[in-house]
Amino acid sequence: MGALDFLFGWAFLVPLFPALAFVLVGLGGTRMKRFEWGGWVAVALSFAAMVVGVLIGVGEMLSPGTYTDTSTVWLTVPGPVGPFPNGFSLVMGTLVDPVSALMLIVVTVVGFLVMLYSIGYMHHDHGLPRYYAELSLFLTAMIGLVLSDNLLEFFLFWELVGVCSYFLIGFYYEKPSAASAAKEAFLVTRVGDVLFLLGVFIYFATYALAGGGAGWAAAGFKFASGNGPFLGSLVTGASSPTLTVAGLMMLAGAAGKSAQFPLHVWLPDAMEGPTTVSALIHAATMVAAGVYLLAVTSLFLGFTPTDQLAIVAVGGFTTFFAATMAVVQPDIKRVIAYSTISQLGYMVLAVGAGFTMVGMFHLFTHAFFKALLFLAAGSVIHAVGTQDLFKMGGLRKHMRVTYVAFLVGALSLSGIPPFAGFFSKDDVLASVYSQLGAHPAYWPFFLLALGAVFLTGYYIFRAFFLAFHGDRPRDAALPAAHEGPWVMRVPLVVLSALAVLAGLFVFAPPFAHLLAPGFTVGGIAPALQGVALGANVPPVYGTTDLALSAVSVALAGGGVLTAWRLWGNGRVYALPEGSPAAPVRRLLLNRYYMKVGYDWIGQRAVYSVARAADFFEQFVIDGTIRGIEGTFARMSDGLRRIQTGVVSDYAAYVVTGVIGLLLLLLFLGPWIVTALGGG
Amino acid sequence: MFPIISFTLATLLVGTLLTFAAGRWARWVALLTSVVFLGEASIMLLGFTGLPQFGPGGPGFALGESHPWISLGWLTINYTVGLDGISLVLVLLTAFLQIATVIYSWEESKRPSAWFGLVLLTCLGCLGVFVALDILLFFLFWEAVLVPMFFLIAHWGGPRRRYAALKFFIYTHVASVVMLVALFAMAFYSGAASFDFPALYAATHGLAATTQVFLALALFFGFGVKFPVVPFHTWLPDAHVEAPTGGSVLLAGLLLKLGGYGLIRWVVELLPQGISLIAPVLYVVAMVSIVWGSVVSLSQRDLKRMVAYSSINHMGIVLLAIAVHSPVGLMAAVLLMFAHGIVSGLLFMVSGSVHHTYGTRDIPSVGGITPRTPMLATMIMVGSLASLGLPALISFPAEFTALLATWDRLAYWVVIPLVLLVVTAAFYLWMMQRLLFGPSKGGPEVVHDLPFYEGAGMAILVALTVLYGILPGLLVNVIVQSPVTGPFP
Repeated sequence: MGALDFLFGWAFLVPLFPALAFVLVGLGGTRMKRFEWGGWVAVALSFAAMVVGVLIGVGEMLSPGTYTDTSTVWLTVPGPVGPFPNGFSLVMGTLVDPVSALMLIVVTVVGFLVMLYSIGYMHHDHGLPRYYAELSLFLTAMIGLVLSDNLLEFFLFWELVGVCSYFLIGFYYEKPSAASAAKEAFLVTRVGDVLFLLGVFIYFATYALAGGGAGWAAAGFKFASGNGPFLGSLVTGASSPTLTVAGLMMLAGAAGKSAQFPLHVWLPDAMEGPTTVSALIHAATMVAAGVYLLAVTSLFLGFTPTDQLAIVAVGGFTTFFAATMAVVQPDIKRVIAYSTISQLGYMVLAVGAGFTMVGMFHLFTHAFFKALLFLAAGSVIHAVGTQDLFKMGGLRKHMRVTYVAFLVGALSLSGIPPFAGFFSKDDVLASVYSQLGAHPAYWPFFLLALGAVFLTGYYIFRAFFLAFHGDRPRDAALPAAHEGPWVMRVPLVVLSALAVLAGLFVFAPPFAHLLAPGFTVGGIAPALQGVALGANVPPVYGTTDLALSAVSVALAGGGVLTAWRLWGNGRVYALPEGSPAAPVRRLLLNRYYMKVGYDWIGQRAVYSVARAADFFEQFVIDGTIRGIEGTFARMSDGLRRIQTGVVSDYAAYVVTGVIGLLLLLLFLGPWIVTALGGG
Repeated sequence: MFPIISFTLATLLVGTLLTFAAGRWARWVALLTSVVFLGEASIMLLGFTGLPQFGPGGPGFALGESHPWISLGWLTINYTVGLDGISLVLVLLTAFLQIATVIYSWEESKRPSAWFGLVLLTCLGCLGVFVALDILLFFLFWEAVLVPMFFLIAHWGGPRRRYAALKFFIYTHVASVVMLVALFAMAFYSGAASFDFPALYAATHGLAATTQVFLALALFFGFGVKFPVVPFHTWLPDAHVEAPTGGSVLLAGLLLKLGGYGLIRWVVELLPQGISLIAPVLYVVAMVSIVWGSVVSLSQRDLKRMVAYSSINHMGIVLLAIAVHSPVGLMAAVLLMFAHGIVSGLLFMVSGSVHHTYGTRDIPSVGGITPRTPMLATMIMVGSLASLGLPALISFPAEFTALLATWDRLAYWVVIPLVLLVVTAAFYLWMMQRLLFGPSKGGPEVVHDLPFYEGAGMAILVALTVLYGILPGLLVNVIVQSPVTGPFP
């Protein structure tokens, strides 16, 4: 028992701090001019959230492997049929465990630093109350997601962070490109979200009665019970194909949120939002939620081997695929965005290979060095007013702090020891490598991930040299660069320190406890296979395979050196005419034409179907109805003519009618009588 | 026990008549009536502590009253009213939408006494439908709804109002006739002693399967047109586009719910075998409605028409949840009806406000309204996000449980409504992109934001959307107090 355990039950307070900021700033922000339109209120409350969040994280380190669930019933649905003979409960609660504690530290620390940085970065913008209210709401939802103790609550906050991301990408909504990017982000992730929802249905319905007692359904479908997964015990009667599908649906949801191939297209366009938003939402926290989903699923529910291969394939392929596109980007933020996609691929890869906590470790370090890179880029953009790398140059002379910060971030990202990225990326590669014997199918994806190490070193240092090296800006029209105010410099310094140290934490025992879940990693799938996946988790983090480390460092260093050879003097040159690289470059700049393809599907294919449906609606369905209506109208028109108003006409009708009836009776009468059985 | 249901019907009737006669004070009388009605609905909610146990005599109803009305010797017709969880939630919806509509249309200048009187009369009819437990009484209220709505469209509507009003009336009336015949047939075939719901309940369960199927199909046609289901839906977009805003709110918010309510009360509860046997038909119709409503929405340029088609999609999910025919599904159907009532009411209000602020509802031709009317833009966002199923807003818990129930019965077929959730998100987001964001493309540059009363009407619905989105249990705990949604055998 640690001294801070009493805090675990109060974890729900953490999201309430930014929620309070949301309400205060959202309702009264325009009256808070003295507080920079609510900015300082949001900063103060996110600081409070950080203090409590980090204390909870430390508490979890001091009480290794404890699982504390605090929940309240959201709604109870009695239902005597189907898979829910006892009905089911949906609960809202907080689960403090090693994974969520790790994630909580990331979210609250980066959240606070970005909030502070915003005071300086957003100073000149309009709509500050909206900005701080939306950012606070995001923080609330993100912390809620991290602490979720069941899949439904997870999904609920998952959608809320998505909508906050939608609003913040579209912060400059007057710009058509921003409005379009916001819509694109929402829709692409929505594709993943509905599949995620299907996965939730499958889990809920399939395992409603599992777990003993009144079953999982009555207990609110919680992840954990006591110090282990709720469904950890052997589940009988579960069909493996169904479980595989559910796992794939989780992967689809994660691919949408974490921008993995083929749902990655939205993330580079999301750079339309303010750079602070890119740092917090689209680098450190929200996009990592997909990885977190996979981690939570693998720990508490488990993946089947087929799922694992699919996850490894998606993650491994994405590392390389995204890195290639980063290589040619002229926009500093987009370079980092593609890098984020690629790095998320490493995390997905590790989780897929069965090394959940290794993936989470990379998530942890990545959050810091990637937020650092974005904030440093923001500092540059703040100073020179452009994102075009080819217009910048020579900034190192005027922006010492930013220069060093970007360098630290770039070294960490490239995986140069002893920076944080080295340790976590090395762990990812070593973990997957250790599985290659048992799973030869992982080989191609391992090699792609290894290749991406070279590209990473190259593209980030290309951006670094283009922005900071050389003598002067290549575009003479740029304003003279200057460093930002202290509120911008402090987060850079703090994050730089973390980008150096976060990897070394793994050697400190209290922190290392977070990376070792207190139960055998498992859930349903391993139980079904009779496999304890926990056996896969390497007992020691840090360098385990020196030869592999040497290869990866050599690759990263090679990338950095190549960048230095090509761009180190800050000079820019065009590709020679007819160079074989030109079509490749065009392919990469056009993002493999996937965005064009998706736009075609959305704007041409689906919209054409909708237009055709509308046509059918108006002319066939409604047309038929109007046709029937017209027939009746014409019939009544015809019948109306016999109403002449002339008495002799009517007399003629009456006489005709009577004669007709008589004739009818005469001929049909006997038949009717017979038919009725009389006569 | 105090006959609160009859008392509510009476006060609402008196309030309606007074409103017609009140001249320039009509809106105040209407507001007062609405407040009283809301108060009475709250009292019903507070006094509703659960149903009498499900007994051999039929399902229990709270606050029930029964008086002999017409006695023919071979048949007794009673004035029977009562509430269970399903009807109570819909009564609440009626009260909320009535007060919101009255406040929203506060400045109605075209014959205000008639306007407010007809609005109240529509709500009175809906209230009657939700509490009536006798075929004849049910049918009287059912028809009583059509008349005021006909005049609301025909007198206060847009340029093609006469065509739309007639179309609305003929469609729904044809359906009503089929429904009436089927209800009578059900009563006579089963040999029930009276037209009362409990008497019918005891008798209809013994009907032969074939009879149940034919009755269920006929009743499904009668109620389905009101839903509306494809292909009997084309009255809806025309009626909505031509209807005045208040009329649209009631039409989408309440009238569409009559179909769903009728289907649950008079088919699911009385003909369980019939509904199970025709379930495949219902599934197909529901799936087609879901797909069709959503896809056609995507191509609409008129904001109001788009919202109207989205109703077809949402009511398709309601039908799907009913067809699933499990307690969870029926609970979800009722919750979704409530949610759709609130959210579509809000969306029709914003459509009306867009129309008279910018002079058009044509989505591509306005653009960039957020800086010009931030309040209105915010309301549009809340309504759209609620309608596309954002958690923490009211539709989410309903859609979640509805689709979970669908998965339970139909397994991977649930992918169809799930995929259409993406299309639904697409047309709302695309609408917001074109209407709210980007540069201004048309309409007056300097405009007033929402007038106070319009904002207040919407604010009521927004507050409900958030309240019940965060605490859906408040509704669910009521809805499950019913023989078909609850833990009863």
